[in-house]
Amino acid sequence: MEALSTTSFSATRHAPPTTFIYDEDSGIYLSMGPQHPAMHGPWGFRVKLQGEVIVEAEPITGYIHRGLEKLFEKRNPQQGLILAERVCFMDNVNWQLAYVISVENLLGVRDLVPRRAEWLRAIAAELNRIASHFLFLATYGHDLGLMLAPVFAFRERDLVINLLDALTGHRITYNYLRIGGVARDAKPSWINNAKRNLKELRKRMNRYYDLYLSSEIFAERTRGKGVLAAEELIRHGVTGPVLRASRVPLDLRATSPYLEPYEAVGVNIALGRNGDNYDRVLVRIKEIEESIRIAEELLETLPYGKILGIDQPVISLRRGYSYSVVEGSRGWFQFLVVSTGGFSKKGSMPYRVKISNPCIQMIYLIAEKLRGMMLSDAIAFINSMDLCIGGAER
Amino acid sequence: MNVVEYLRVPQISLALSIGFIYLCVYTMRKLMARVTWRIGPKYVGPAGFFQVFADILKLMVKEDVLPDVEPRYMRIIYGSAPFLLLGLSLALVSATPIPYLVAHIEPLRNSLIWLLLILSLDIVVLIVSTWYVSSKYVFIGSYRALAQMLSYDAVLAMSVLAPAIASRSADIAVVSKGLHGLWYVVSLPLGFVTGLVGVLAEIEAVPFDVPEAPTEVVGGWELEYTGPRFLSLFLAKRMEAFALFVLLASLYLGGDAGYPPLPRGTWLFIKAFLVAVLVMFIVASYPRYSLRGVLSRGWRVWVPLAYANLVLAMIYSALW
Repeated sequence: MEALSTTSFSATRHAPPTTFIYDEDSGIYLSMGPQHPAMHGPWGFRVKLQGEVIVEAEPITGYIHRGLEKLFEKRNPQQGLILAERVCFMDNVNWQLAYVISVENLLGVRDLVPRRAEWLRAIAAELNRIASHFLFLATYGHDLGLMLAPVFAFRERDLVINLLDALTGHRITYNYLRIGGVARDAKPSWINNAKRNLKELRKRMNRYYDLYLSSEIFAERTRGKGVLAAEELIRHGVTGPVLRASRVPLDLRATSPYLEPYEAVGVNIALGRNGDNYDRVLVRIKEIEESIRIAEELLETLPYGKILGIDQPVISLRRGYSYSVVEGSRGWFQFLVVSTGGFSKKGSMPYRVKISNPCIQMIYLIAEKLRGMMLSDAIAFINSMDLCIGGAER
Repeated sequence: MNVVEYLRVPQISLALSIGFIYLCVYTMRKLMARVTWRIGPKYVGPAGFFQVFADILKLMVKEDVLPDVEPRYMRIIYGSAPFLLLGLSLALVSATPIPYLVAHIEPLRNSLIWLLLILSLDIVVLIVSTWYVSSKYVFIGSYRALAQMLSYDAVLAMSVLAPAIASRSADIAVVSKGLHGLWYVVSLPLGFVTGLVGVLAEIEAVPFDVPEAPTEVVGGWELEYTGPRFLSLFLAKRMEAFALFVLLASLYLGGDAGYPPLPRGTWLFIKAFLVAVLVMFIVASYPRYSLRGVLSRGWRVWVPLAYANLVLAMIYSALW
């Protein structure tokens, strides 16, 4: 990639001639990112174009690596809660859930969590999944030039965000879960509100079938474009809606439920047919509907009781390690917490925390698949994967 | 025929098109706001009517930056392209019947031929000016524009020629009367649709905004223009749109005819505005084609349809 520096755009006055000459061998090097309107987050691809066709693609990443895993080593488990949800702001309940389950397993207090708290966790997680998928619909529509999409999808997302705001007190990083339960109880009035909002949301879902799936131009941009075979995805370790769009029925909520409520209400897996861009959108729209159903049923069957099984903040850890995985909105959210059991003034801090984000695998898959794609298809393909680059770089 | 009278035509064209553009930009913003359940401009003037003026003022005082162009003399052409395009658009509006109607002047003879000639010139300015620019998005955008206009100029030209052939005249005033009094939108409905598609592609509106797609080529060939140059380009593009709306309205929608009778040119202005509103709804509710989608649909769908329409017009011409 030496050629990149010599052909890049120079703004200085005394630079050698900045004209780039197009020829079949060299092509044009183009930096799509880290500042590009279609790249959500500071990342992108340095692509080599011949005409409109991409012949080489190299990911540009590393702009928001925050060293989260290292930071966990200087926090006790209680402080780690706040850090865990900052892995990815778009789906923070599920990230916190993965962390909480991991720590609870390590401490052996998983059974102390009250049933009501488990139900509330699942409800918050499903609401957050809906919000995250709406964010995808908004940005994806915008990337394809559909001006209505961001406005409509953000409005629908707001119904959910308002609910989470009323439940947790925050609109973006909720900090709702606690080790051994949840932070706040749901009042009867909140439950009524939630039922009403979800009903309203279900009514509005038809719009997304009209706006996206039955539009001829949308089909032109997405059908048969960016097809991913199931074997390819499994080889790269990709999980989540992207995998399900390629007809692999793998959803941890259904196949190995990590929370009791998922077992209680059952989860239908949304599947695509071909694994193209269209199916990835379709799967997410179906998952929103499924999450609405799950949340509604959980609200109906919400048991009574305590919301916190442990009566004081947990600041100590046992010696050992614990792994947990939850089905997030982008795939498997995995946490590995290793502890030596040592104790200091701030409590005991984990020896090592390893976070595994489903998005990092997708970056390399995208870079591989971009070769031979046209520029407009590349944008539609990259964003159909719905990456959270902040989470991927941790 | 008084030659001096014709000197008023560009002035009237400029005044009319600026009025139309102001109205359209304001309507677009309010309409988009309504469609997306927002309020839109609100604070500057009554119902935000002077917001557009405030935006123009802002663009006028912004810093003017131009990228490097090698060889240096090409920078002059690149820098002046917005003004050249503005001139071309003004010529385009001057070739439509509306300034003549307003000024009570006898319209140009065979103005349709002039109009098609001027319409094909802007892509030349665009390609020549952007060829040497060191910004890659500008370069990609300009060859995208070239590819798109090559396909859709044919669609537009054939849709424009069909009514002219059916009424055996290149005078817009004659064509406006329609086929024995029947508007061409009724007798050649397909031509109106292909004409609208051609206009959408010509003015680079969604779903045909591939050359300037903000989420792909970040604005395309107009990316590097700022401040007054951007304003000039903005005006030029919308003036072209105005001319094309007037053209479509006068060829297919019966020109200045309407009931109740209004001052000369008013009905044409209203019809052009209605076409503009139709375009606004299309812009608001569709995503963008990919480059390949635009080109393949251009040659495989729209050119044959426009040609079929042309053949239909020839049959009309032969029969009546």
